[in-house]
Amino acid sequence: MDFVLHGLALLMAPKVLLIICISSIYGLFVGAMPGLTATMAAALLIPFTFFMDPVPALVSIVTMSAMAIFAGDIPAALVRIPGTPSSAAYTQDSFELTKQGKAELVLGVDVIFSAIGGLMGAVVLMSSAPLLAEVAMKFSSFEYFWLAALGLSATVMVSLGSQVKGALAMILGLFLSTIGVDITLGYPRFTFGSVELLNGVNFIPAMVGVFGVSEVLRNVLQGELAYPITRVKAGKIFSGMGRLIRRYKVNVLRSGLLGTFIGILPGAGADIAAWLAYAVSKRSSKEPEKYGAGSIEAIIDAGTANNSCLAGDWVPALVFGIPGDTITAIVIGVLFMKGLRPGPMIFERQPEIIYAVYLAFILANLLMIPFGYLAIKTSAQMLRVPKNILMPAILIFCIVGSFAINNSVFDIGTMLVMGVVGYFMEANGYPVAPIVLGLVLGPILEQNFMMSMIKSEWDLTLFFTRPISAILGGLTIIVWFFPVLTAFLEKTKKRN
Amino acid sequence: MEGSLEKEIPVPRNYFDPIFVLILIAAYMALSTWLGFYITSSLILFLMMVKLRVPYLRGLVISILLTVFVNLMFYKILRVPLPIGFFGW
Repeated sequence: MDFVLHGLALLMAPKVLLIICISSIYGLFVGAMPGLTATMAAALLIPFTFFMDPVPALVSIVTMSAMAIFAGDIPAALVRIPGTPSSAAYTQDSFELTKQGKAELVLGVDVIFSAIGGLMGAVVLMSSAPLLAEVAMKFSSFEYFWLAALGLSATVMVSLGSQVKGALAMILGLFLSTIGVDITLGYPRFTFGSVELLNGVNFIPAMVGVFGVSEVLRNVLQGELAYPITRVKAGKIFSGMGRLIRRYKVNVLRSGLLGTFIGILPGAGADIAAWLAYAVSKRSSKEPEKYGAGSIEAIIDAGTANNSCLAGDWVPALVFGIPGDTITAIVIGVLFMKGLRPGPMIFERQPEIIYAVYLAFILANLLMIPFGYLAIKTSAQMLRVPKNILMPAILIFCIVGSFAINNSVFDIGTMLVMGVVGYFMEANGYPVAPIVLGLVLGPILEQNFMMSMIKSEWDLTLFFTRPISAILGGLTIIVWFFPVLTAFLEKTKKRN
Repeated sequence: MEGSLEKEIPVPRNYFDPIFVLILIAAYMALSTWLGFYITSSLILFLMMVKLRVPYLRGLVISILLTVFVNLMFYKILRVPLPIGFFGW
């Protein structure tokens, strides 16, 4: 109980509350701007969080991401462009309902069910993380090796589109993580004699490049889009919500739990949660013919799932140091740079940080209702911010943020190169999220492998003879053969 | 699904603009230690806005305001050193 109060005290400091409000507004704005993703918002936020204390840094990322995932629903409903990829699953349904004159209903559902989903995710996070942390206390380098391998494999398995492209992106991330001084032997790798590369590819400029600069490049290529914006009467958005909650309580419970579970899986983020919840919802609905033509049920299910997923993503991140999605991958990178090693030890040594994250999730989702109301009320003005002023502004924040971390012009170069790489990858259908996971998990994978090998004097069998290690290893191998297995199952199903 | 959404809106494409952005970033790397943060940032913001067809005067005013804002956030609030040039600013 002491830690809860301590965590609450940390959260209620005036400075932290101010950071929460600013992060909320920032998240709502970036989420609502079509073409700017929540991951980009996180990448641009990290140079700031780098200079904050751990608690305000984590809290600001939590509130920002919760608000951004909700705000992605606003342009989906009003102009038929999802604000973030997480809203893509139900953009069609949202816009169809808007065309039928029900924009207020859609936005009301978006804000209320996002908040409910987020709160459900927070409850699962609070109840499962401490239990898992106790299990994790028993883990040694063998188990952490498999966890990292499992995280990387799962990232490839769930990558939307081609799994081969996902695997290539992940391998690029792993390769980037090997640049610099070898962690066990101290030998410089792939540095080509450059002093700047001895410390490796700097994580923050790389992220700002992949998610920030590449978005700027894409946006200036497309030019200004002129779209008609539906006006909404914000005063009416909350009417009839109580009835909907009662009517769809089973859907909310199902999608909230499904979303959190997807979040806990390493590598699968809110966009995948939304697509899956949509598919499950359609299959179990009484009126599946409405899906795609304006189904409020679809919006409730997918909208609950993508917000509940966010809290789930933090479970493996806090407990094992294995990211649940791209945003938590960035968070882990930040924690490492602050000298905080995410993992079960945090639960013992700095429990107030964990409780501050829990409470931040609850507070962010409660604040979502008033802040979301304001965002909806000002949506018409927000969507009209001209891109030709916004893009230069984002660019200067990318440049200055990358420079600020080490005070080095070389880092701006890293950002530039990674921005071009990220742009060409996305233009050719390669997912960029696996790069981040490769970059964060690469050193964990390598370090734990080398530690295990040195401890056991190169006895590889120990990876399969320790019980927990064997289970995790088995799971990882099943994930590798998943594409083959599903193809085989499909075949046998057809034969019967 | 996303692909089909994009196809319906015809989008004009400016292939030179992304290259221009890259040139600006490179210019910042080359110039910031020489001209300092204020001049380099304002200049780069102004050039990019002009390239994206923002009217000159409006572009100039917004560039300067943004530069001051970035300076306030990083230098004054977060106390991060920014590039200092020839003139000491």
